[in-house]
Amino acid sequence: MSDALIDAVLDRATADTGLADPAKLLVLAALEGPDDLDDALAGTAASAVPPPAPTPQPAADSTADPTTAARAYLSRVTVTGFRGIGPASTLTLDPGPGLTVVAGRNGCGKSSFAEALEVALTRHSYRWSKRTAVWSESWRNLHQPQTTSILVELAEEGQGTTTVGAEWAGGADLGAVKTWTQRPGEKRGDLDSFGWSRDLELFRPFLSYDELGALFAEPSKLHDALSGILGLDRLEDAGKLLTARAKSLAEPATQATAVAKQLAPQLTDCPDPRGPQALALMKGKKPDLAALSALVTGAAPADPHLAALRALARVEAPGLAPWRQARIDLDTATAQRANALAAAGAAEIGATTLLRAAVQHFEQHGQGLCPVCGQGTLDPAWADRARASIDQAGLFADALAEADGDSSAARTALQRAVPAAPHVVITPAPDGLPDLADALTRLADAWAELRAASTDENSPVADVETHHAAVEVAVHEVVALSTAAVAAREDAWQPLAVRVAEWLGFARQAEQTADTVAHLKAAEKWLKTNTNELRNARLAPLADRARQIWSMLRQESNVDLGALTLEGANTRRRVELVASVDGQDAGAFGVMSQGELHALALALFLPRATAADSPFGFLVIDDPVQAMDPAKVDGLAQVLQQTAQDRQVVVLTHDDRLPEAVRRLQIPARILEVTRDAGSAVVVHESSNPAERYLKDAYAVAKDSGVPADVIASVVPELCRLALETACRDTYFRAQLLTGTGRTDVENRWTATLTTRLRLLLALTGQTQGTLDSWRTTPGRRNALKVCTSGVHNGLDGSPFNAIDDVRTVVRELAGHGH
Amino acid sequence: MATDPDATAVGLALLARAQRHLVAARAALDGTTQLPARRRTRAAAVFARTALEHVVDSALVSRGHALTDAGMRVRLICLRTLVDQETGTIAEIAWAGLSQGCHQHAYELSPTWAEVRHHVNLVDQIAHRTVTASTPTARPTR
Repeated sequence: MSDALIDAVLDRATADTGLADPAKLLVLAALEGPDDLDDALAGTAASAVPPPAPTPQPAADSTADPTTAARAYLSRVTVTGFRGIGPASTLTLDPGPGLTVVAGRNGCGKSSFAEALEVALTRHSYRWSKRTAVWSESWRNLHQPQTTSILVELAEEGQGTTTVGAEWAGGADLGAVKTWTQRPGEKRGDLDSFGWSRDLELFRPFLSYDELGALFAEPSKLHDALSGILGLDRLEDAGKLLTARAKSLAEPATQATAVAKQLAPQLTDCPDPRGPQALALMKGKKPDLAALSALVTGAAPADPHLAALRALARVEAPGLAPWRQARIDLDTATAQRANALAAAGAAEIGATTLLRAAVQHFEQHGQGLCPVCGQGTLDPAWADRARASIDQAGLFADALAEADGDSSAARTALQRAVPAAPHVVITPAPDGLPDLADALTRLADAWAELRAASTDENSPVADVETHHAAVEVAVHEVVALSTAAVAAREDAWQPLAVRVAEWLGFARQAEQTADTVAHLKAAEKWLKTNTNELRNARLAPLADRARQIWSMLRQESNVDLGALTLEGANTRRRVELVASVDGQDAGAFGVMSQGELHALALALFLPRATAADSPFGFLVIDDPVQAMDPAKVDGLAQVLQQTAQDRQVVVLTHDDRLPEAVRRLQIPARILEVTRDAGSAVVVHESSNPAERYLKDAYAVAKDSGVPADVIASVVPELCRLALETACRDTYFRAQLLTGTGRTDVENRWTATLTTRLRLLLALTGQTQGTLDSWRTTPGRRNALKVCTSGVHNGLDGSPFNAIDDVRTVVRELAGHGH
Repeated sequence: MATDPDATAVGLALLARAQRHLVAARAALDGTTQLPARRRTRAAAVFARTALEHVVDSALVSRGHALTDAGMRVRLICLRTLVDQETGTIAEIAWAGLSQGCHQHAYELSPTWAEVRHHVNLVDQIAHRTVTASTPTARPTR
């Protein structure tokens, strides 16, 4: 709604160099509402300052001021069986800016129209909400108990004639009202679909005497009314929104702090060194989240102690099978060598060498005597025998060599059958585990003894087996102890690791939102410190307008209105008003008479009801005259005239003071009179309108024998022209506004149409093209037009009374035109 | 409208008469006369009302319209139509207020001091406008 507030905030924020740009953006976004703020936080909002404020342009309206809402004006209120009104009665109003005074004696039913209007539009009437049950039970008209209905027709800019209805079934309670609305060409709908509920609260286009009086009863009430209209509740809402978003965005940081607080002692006491390590990483302004993450996920270089413990938990005793195999192989090889030796011994290895030489000799020299003994003969038979003997001896030698090789391999295998103790076993145990250290020492010793025994081929097998058993026992002990130690550390760390991971998640989120949270907090703080200045800066124009109205209303009152400010908050919120009496400062409200208070209330409320962004073009004031002095009534009439320049002002009054002032001051206002006959038959008729009053004045001038003829000849046509143009204007505005044309267009068109002739054409046809020929069919019409055109410039020729009568006829025709 | 020197003279004479009545009205209000206190406001209203008549006549005469024989209502209508709307409206307010104060109406009490002072000020205002308008240097209003 009021973008003036946004502008004010923008101006102030822009001027404030202490506020960072993102924070400024957040302040403005928060004022636009939660969605805009969320967009801004998500970074999707346009980063340009100011943010684009979407202003829905009313259709068929070229209004230049974007903050001016398309307005609705009242054109007809028809009431049946409600309060003082029995059979259906209609109050017909000219839609569009202008003043209508509805006069009628107390109890004539005029207020019933106002109440009916208020009930139909708001389903609530101020008067009833303050009265007793007896009052609100007697809302149904006694003369018309069966049917109760209210029909309000509104000329809506850009829409045309919109109808709002309220109906009650016979016997239904006041609360059991069925209301509906219908825009031209649309289906019936709910009043709320217009979004008027809040606006009706804000701008309250209904002011009753009671309500005006009650304004000063509670200090907070006036405050709320004024801050509502200025859209100041948005400041508060925006502040709350910023707080809420800052809180929810800072939630991870808050959680992180809470988790860290819980975790700190546990991490300190954690037997696993990762505990204290994690705590060290978590501390400080900029915690090392990456390192911490590695620690938690196990991606970090492992703790050497833990690695050692894990290795110890996996230690196994060496198997004895290889050793046994090696011993068997060694025994076998030894036995085979003995056999080969025995066989070779029989073959006499030296003789074989001699035999080889003799065979060689035979092969060189052929058959002959044996050179050794000289008796035997070396012949081929001998050679064959000798060769066989040599081959056999070779086989024996091979077998012996193989047996030698086997036993050598077996010996090597024996040396390797039991491996040396693994490194981890001979490394000292991690600190703080004495049992494991002892067990480890025992294991290392046992392992060494086993190895010593196993490598000695002469050790009895039983000894080796005993040593092996000792190693197995020691291994078992070490594994058990180290497994327990690993488990103890994991048990302590794992749950902590989960929590640290949780903290890490919060910390990561917090890291991401930290800047935004800082900006939100700055925005919130700025808004808080600037709210008071902002709201009073916003109030200033309204206060000025109120002072201006007061100065017109107060007439001879010696009370001067000074500064008007909104102060305090929550239950101490109030409106501070400085008044002075004859230039002396005085406590504000105390020095004022009842009538003055009413005038003041009106002075404050008219600006509210006529705020530029109100969708209501109308304002209904019920009996503002009651407590007023005669002179104030003149002031009131002028204030109303001023207000009516761009609002449809309907004033209900119970006596003739206001109508009299209106007539006397020649204020262009319609005066309607309401009378009530038997059976609650309420009749509304027009008692006076501006055109008729001009003609009445013209008649008075024409009739006065003291007025020279030349004055009559110039004054009468002038007043006739005013009468005709007033009637044309009313007719043209009524017709255009009823069809939904925007008032700015209507006003511009009217102002741009300069001559009486064209204005008449505009009233008759809605346009300025064409001629009046088809209209100028009677002598009376021709004369009326002549009086109002050439008569004004050249003076009247002919009877002033005829002129007035002819113009009156045209004026009355125009009044019926389009109604 | 060209200003007739005679009309200007008559207008100024009427204004001077109006000023004397205004002085009397203020004296009555300020209590510097011999009038009994309860009649001062009413007397002031009577003086001011006469002053207003002269001011209105002056304004009309200086534009060449002698309307002294016409009724006051018609004179006020002519003031609004022939002189200017705003002066006419102020004169209407002052006339109604002072007439109310001059007469003894049923159920009504004497006008208050503040009320009459207000209306005296209004007459003063119109007189001032008229002087400004009738001096030769002033530009015509219509």
